Amino acid sequence: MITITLFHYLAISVILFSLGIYGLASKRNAVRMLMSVELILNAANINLIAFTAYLFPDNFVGWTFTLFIISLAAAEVAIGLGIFLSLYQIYGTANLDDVKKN
Amino acid sequence: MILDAIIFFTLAGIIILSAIMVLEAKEMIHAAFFLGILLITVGELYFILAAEYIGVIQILVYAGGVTVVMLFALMLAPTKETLHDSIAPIKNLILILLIIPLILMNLKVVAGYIQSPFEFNQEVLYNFAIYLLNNYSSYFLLLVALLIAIMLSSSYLAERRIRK
Repeated sequence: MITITLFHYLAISVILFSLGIYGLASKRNAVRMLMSVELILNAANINLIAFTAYLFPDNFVGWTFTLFIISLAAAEVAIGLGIFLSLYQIYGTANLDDVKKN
Repeated sequence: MILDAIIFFTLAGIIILSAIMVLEAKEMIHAAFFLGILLITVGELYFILAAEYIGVIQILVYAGGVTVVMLFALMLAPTKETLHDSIAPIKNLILILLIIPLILMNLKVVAGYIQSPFEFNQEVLYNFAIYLLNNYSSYFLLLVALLIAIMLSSSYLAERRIRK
């Protein structure tokens, strides 16, 4: 019989976080790098919610932090894509390495 | 208990597979699609963890807003990767058709499964609202200021583009 514990949620979170770091380090497309940042933020959110559910069920700090992280992530995506579109207009490419060369 | 494990591992598998596809899909549009699937599934995890409110916010803001904004950016700036081939191969279509019912089924199972392992009662949500308004109202005002600043700066960026 398998019981789902805090460890399982932390394992998912670690895998998501490392995939996000891998994407940030290896991909050069600006939109894909933004997506990797989303993966990292989601890993942090899963951590917060799982700790709240298992260790501090009567405490709302984790939920509050997650709410703030979600709204900040939406804002970050909006401004990041604005910058990406401007870069695309100027350099005609989404590849950040090509932007650096110009 | 066994249903617990089955649901959890299904969700975990979907999350990890779609995270890999976000990074490795050749077409950027497909990557955005898999990002949407990942965000919905993470929202389902929140449902299991008795954080229904956060799950709903996650699905509304993340899966609804962020994914659509990314799709719009990809449509406005067709990079080489997106232009690569305009008609998706049948293989991808079959994959998508298989994934959507899976997600819907998951949502139904998870939504019907809210009661355990954590108890859901309405007072929690009420207490959460009171807690937020009592302790974090000033931070919410800060957040509002930040969001307004971001809105203005986005429109500034767009205006600069139009003038050019």
